[in-house]
Amino acid sequence: MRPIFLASTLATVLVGSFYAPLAAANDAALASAQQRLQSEGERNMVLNHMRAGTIAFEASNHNAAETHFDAALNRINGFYADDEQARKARSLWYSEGTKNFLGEPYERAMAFYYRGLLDLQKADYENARASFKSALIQDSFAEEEQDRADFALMLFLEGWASHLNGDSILARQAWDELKTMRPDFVVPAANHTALILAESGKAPRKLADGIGHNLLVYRRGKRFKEQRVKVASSGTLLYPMEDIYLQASTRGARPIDSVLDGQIRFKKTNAKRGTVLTDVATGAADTFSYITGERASTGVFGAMQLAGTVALAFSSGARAEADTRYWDNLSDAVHITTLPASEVSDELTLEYLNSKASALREPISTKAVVTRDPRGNVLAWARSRPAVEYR
Amino acid sequence: MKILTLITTPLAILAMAGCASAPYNPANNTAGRATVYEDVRSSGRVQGIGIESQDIASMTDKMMRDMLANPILAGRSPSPRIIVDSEYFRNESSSRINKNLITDRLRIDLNRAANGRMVFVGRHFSDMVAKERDLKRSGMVDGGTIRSTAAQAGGDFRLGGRIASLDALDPNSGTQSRWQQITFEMVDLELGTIVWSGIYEMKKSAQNDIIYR
Repeated sequence: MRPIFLASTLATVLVGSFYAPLAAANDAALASAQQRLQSEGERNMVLNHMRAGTIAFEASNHNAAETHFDAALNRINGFYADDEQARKARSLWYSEGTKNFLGEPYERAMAFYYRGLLDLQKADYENARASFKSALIQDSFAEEEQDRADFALMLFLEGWASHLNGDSILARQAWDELKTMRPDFVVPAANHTALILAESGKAPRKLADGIGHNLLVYRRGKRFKEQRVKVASSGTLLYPMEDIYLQASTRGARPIDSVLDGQIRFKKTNAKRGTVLTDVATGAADTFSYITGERASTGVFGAMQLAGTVALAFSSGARAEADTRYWDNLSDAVHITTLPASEVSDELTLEYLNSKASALREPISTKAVVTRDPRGNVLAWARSRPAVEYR
Repeated sequence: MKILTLITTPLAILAMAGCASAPYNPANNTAGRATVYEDVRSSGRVQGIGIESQDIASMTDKMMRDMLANPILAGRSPSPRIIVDSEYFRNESSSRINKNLITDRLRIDLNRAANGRMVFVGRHFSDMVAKERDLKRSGMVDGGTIRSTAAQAGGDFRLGGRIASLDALDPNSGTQSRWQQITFEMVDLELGTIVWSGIYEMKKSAQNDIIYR
């Protein structure tokens, strides 16, 4: 009796000690993200709301998640014309990072994605659809025509919201369009009212490249192997609907890149001009002294040297670095599957696999957050890496 | 020559001081602004291309006037019972909105202006009414002072409608525009015919600073 009691107590303690730190870490991370909202101010307000919203969403803290994503989207939805921070960021003497962060199109789209999921959890399918449509509009900012509005995940979710709302024609329209991007995707059956969404990997990274660090480049998140997902109990493989890194990196050149390019040209021209003027002035003064045997007067040569120094100062003062702040607790990819609501257990575990859908050397599995909305439809959501793991 | 040196030296020093170390201030240290009341019928300081307060105020005002001028709705005797709520008012647009903002305002404005020519059924309060009726009939509370009826009021007409939108974007200029069309229809709840229709539309466009495109 005693060994059994001890074993069960130990098991309870172990399980408790496994989940308790996760919950505690989530609370601490949310508090830390909210603290950063205060300390980093308006410049990073949207970024910190995105981070905090993701942490709250993962913890099923719906009120906090809604508050954070609404705050971020209110700023994203606003139009910034004649804005002081934007004017500074465009000027020669400030880097792009001076601007208030609004995110690149893929980040804005993902903020709408989480807002839409929050709406789905409340059975507010119409506003969920509006959110996913807005996400697609953000994706339309791509410079490369073939990559405009190709965010398949949002198109699927727009159709899914319509499907749950009983708008079968609208659902069909969205999914017909989706089939042009994902021909192998099987459209959900009419009786499917449960959606399993799993996020894998780590957020796409932004780096400043080029001599003046003026080029914004994207790199896939580091140190993760999971690329496929399956339902642990049934073995059902989820469909890899979206590669977020691909969405980030295929946007093409940004309009601001031409401004940064101009600043780099200004920097280089002034550096060259300054170097030439100072070198010529020094050389000419030496030559003058050599020929005449007298010390060169500070007049003409001094003025040339001064002009050269001013040009060099202009060059070093110009700031053309690209803004590399990024939403670092996003995931790398999103996988989906649909099924009848009755077939989804509240205890749903997802297992993450490598690119060949084989088991990982270091296995990863997570329990999904299963939400039955007021109309009985189900949204199960999970991610391979905790949202609290960010820079 | 000395004059030239005298002029250029301070200028150069000033230029160097100003350019080489532009201050970097990450915090927006604006002094802020005290709360001000804004007219809900005019564009506020914060604007987007979605549905805003002035749009709701003007659309409900237009629909109310139009409905009151319709003899089928406002010229019947006895006055028709009308249900105005968001149950059959669909949002198919790309704007997130609480539809009750539109239907509540429309119902209240209509109720105030109709002055008895239309009677509004509070279907969204039907649970509340049912509970009170149960209490009265079970004898837990008395019958009140008005009257008792066999059942709650049925509606003669009910509002249906749709919010739809069409978005357009010019990636070169970063200009985004949204055309929104809001339709209102009053449906005969016996026959299914539409006895009144109204439409409100608007198109807004805006362009972000290049730094945010």
